[in-house]
Amino acid sequence: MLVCFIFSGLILQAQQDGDLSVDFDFENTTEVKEILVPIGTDVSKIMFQFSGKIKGGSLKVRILDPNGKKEGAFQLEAVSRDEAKEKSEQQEGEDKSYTYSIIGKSRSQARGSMRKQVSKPMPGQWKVEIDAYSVDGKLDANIQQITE
Amino acid sequence: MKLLPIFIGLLLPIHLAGQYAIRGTVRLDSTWERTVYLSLIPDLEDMFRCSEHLIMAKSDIRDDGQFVLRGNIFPERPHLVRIHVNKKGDPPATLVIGGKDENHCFLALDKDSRLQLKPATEGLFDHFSVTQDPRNQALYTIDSLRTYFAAIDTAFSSIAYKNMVQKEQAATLLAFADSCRFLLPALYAVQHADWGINRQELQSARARIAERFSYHPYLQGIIPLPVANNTRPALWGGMLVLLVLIGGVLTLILQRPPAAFKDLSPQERKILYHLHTGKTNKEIAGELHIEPSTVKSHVYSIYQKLNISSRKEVVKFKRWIDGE
Repeated sequence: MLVCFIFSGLILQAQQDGDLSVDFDFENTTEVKEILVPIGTDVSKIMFQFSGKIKGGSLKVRILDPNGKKEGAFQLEAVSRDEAKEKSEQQEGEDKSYTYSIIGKSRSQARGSMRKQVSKPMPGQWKVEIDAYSVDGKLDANIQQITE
Repeated sequence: MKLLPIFIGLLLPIHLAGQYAIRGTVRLDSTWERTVYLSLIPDLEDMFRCSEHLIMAKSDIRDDGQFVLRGNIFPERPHLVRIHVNKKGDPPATLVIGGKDENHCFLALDKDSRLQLKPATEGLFDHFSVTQDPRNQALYTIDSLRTYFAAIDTAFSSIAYKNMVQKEQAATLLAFADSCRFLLPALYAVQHADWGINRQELQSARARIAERFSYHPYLQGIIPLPVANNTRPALWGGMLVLLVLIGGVLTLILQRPPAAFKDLSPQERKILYHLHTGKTNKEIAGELHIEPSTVKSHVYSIYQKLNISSRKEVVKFKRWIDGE
C-alpha cells in the first residue's frame, strides 16, 4: 500500500493488518504530525524505515512505544538561502570559539535515514511523531508489521 | 641558553597543531566519498541531530582507509562527537541510522584527546571503540548494558514483562551513573535510563551528577530539585504523619502540572526555563549551544503543547518551571 500524502495536519492511522507507506512533501511547512500504529499481541516484529532530505528548516522524527519511550529518533536541519544570509550577518561579531562550523555561512542541505526493527513489540498504540519547522524537502516513511 | 625557552615556545604550537585528535581506519568501497566528518554534539539529546552547523572538522581518507582528524578547536571539556562518512553525492550533513550502511559512530573527545579507533569488526565503525581511553570505555560499557537489556526485552511481548525490563535497565544505568568517575558517561547513563523510572528520580540522578562534577555545558538546564517532602513516620507522631499525608495529597492536587506540561521534552523544559527568565532566542541558543533556529523550533513546539501564543503566557507555568 502506498499513500502519497500532502501535509495537512491530520493524524494517520496505520492499518493493523498491513504495511503503511507515506510520502510527505514539505514546502516551508511548520506542523506536527503523528502516525498511530496500533500493535496487537500477534505482531512479532515492526520495521520502521524513514528517509528524508531537506534543503531548509528543521525536521524531527521520533518513534515512541505505548509507554512513550523513545525507540528511535533523528533530526535534520538545513539552512535555506535566506537563513544562510541571516546567519552570516549574525555570526559576524559573535564568539566562534565554541561552536565552530566549517560550512556555517553557506546554504546547506541535510539527508537522513533510519531503519529500526523492534522484535516482540509491546502491544498497544505505537506512535511516530513528525515535527516539521519551516521545512522544505521530503520524507518517506514505511512501517511494516509482521505477525506470527 | 637564554634563547632555548623562546625556541621551545616557537616550536610547541607547531608541534601541537600537528598532533592528531583521532586516528582510525575505515574500509570503504567505491560508492563512498573519501572524506570523514566530525560533528560536535551540543546536548546528549541531540545525538542524532544532523546539521552542517554541527560539523567542526573534516579530513581526507587515504586509499588504504586510514584517516587522521587533527585540530586545536575541540572543546575544553569532554563532549560527545560523531564521526561520519557519506555515500558519493550526499550532502556533508548525512546521517544513516541502522542497516549495513550505518555511517557514523560516537566518541568522547576533548582538546587533549589522542584517540585511536579500533577497526570495526562489522560495518564501518564500532561505537565508542577506542583503545586505552577510560571515558570511551565507560561509554562502551553503557552501550553493552543497553544491548544486553534490549536482547532480554525481546524474549516476551507482554506489557508487564517489558515494563519490568525497562525498570531493571533504568536501575542498572542509574547505579552505573552514581559510581562512574567521569561526567560524560554518567550523564550518558542517566540519559538512557529515562524509562522505567519517574521524572523526579531522573532529575535527582542528574542533580547528583551536577553536585559531583564541576561545570560542563551538558549540565546546563539541570536544576537541582527542592528537597523532597520525605515523610518519616518513625520519627513523627501519628497525627503529624496524617497531616503530612493530607498536605501531600492537597499539594499534589493543587500543584499537579497540566497534562500538556508533561508532554514537553527535557530540552523543551530547559528552553521553557530560559524563556521564563526572559531570555531571547539568541541568548537561549548561546546558553544551550544550539542554533537560534532550533530554539525557534522548540519555542514553537512549546507554544503548541502548552496552548499558548506568547512569551508572556509562559508565566502561567511558573510554578512548575521553578519546580523542574
